[in-house]
Amino acid sequence: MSWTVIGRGPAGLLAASLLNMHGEECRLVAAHEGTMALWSGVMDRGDPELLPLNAEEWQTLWTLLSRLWGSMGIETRLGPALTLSCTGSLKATFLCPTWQYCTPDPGPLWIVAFEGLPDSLQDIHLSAIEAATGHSPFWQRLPRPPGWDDSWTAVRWASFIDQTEGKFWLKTLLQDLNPRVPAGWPLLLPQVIGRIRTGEILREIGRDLRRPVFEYPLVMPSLGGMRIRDLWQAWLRNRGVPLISGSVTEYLKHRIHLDDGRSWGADHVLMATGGILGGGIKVLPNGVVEEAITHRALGQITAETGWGPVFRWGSEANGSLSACGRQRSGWDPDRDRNGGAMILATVYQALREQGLNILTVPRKGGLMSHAGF
Amino acid sequence: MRDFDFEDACVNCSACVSVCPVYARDFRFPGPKVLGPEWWRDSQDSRTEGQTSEFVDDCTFCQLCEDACPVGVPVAHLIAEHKRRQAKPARYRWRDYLLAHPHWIARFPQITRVPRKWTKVLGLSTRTPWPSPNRPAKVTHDLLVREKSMRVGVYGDCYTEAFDGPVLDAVIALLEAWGYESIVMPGAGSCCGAAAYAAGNAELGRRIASATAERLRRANGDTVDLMLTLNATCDSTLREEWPRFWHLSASCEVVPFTEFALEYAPLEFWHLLQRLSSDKPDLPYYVHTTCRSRVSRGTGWMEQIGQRARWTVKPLMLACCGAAGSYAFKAEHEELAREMGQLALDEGRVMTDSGTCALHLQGMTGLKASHPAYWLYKAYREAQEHVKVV
Repeated sequence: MSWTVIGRGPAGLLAASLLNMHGEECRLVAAHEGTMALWSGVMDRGDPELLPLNAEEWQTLWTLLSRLWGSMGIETRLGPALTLSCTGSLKATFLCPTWQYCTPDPGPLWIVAFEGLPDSLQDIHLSAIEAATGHSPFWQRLPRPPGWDDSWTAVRWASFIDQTEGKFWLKTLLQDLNPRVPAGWPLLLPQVIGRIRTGEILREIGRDLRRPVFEYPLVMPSLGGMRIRDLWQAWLRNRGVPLISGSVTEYLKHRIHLDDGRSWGADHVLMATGGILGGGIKVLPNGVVEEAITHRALGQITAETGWGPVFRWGSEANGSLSACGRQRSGWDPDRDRNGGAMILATVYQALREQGLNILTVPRKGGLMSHAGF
Repeated sequence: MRDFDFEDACVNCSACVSVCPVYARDFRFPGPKVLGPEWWRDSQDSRTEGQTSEFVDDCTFCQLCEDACPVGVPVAHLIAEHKRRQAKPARYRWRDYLLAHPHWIARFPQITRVPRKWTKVLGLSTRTPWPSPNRPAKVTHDLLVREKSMRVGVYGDCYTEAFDGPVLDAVIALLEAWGYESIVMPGAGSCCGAAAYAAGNAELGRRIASATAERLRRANGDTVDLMLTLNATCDSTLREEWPRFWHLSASCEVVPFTEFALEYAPLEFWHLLQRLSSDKPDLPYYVHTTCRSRVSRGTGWMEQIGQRARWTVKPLMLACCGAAGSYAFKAEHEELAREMGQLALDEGRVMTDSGTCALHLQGMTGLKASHPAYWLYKAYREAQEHVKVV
């Protein structure tokens, strides 16, 4: 069976990864890089009572995702916990990369911001943290480093701290401040602690200061999502999944067609083009496929026999095509704070609609197993 | 100013900044959002319309920013327009005009043997390795398939024809072995216009490309079903910039060699390579998919080539290696280009779909770097020898 996944966000990447682990031939195609860089990388569960799977199934899916990321080099903490949002409020999460502060029992914190890094935490909701933890955080702002100018976004700060000079700047200032902070209080730094060597740098600082060190997320572009994006794409490439660039305009008679004339056969198609911006692809009642933000027409759906009414792709299973991620109806992760659960559940459901139950079908290949851990 | 689509659609999400290889390394570079859509908006305002950034030429035109944009802003092409409006010293103007005509250099490749100290005057790099003339040798070979099934064009880009002859030889030999008749088009000394566009001279690029389109049309004469490309930048220029910005056509379908190989190379070929790989495990292939290839076609094709041949394949996590056509040959970019291509690799080979990237990565890693066609043909020859011995 050949599969095509459309969309390069977390749902698309997860679907392609699961297919690859099951030995299925899969291509991933997307018109854009995806919006992983707009998300810090935490996976929220929301209210477990409202979700459509039983507890055991959920546990298996969450463990699967945690192990999958682990195999890419992304260590995670799995289980109900609280983390910080990019606006400084505490929020519930379920799967969180270990570079980000995440704990079931938040206590007193040492929070450091950087002068010249927009949206560092102190600017906004420091009082929210105090209210949530019951402790007044020990808060400091480090001065701008040499060479800083106002073109420095989070990406540039991360590149700076990846360098020896940047790491030295940070460690020196923190060592001076460290004696003033009570022992044992975790240190929280803005999520710019390196682009590629984050874990190593955080551990090194932690050893020097003898306290746990984490990051707190910032607004976009988010280093957390960028790290996951880069590692996830490399993982897929490493395992022979092509990541194709192009706009899909038609899926007809089991063939995918792109706007530049390329086409290939696909027995099953998974749409994952919802987009974290609320954009992605929409299908209008007349069958025209358009980009949700710019309203650019991308193509026209040509219905196969029995295609049925077309409104938003994936609202219902249509033969060999299913939708996953934000595109699938019935989910509102912005309201319900269950984006991670949505991704897991919809990918699972979409694969199942297309005949692959990842909870029961034995895996054919790959590094991991997931049924009956 | 050309009529772009969605040039004013930027939603300030910074996805472009998150993928820019120059912004990640050059701390003076303001980034694609500032140099592209934000500059464009300023250019529409009479108070700021003449302003340009002194750093705009540091953009490699890799187009990763454009690929990242979730709303389709032509970020890289807006930056190219910005480059056009940026004043430059006279010697850089002459140099860029010369480098915008790589087909001139390809007609007289010996020019690259000029002593480096002389070229310094022109603003050319003295540290970046330059290619040496290496024309195709037109080799002969054994056939796997005797019946010719299709006539296939091969786009003889200026770099491959003048400096990477063994790659062109390998392609022609492989096509013949696979049962395809090949014709190299449009002939030496043509250019797709990519170099001029990357330097910010879209109009010059269009003129160069128009001449090549006419040569292609005459060379093809409706006898070729499709044309293979050996360089990712030429490939994406022919398929995307030509119709989108210059209203030109390559007269036939354009396909990268790598994808053609995966689709059309016969099973016997892969079996032969697999047998050699099983009997004689070899060094790993480090794969670098060039930025333009990633934007235009995607990644993973060269990895599939390696996997089908049962080679050990290791994808490199480089967004842009710094070669970027003629970028690394410019004196003001040599340090950054080296930084972008900095890699510490164990013993192995590098596989990449661009001649200038191969040259640059070879210089940076000390490992032999070449196009997948070169490695496939090399393995094919070794497999044939191996089978004879066994």
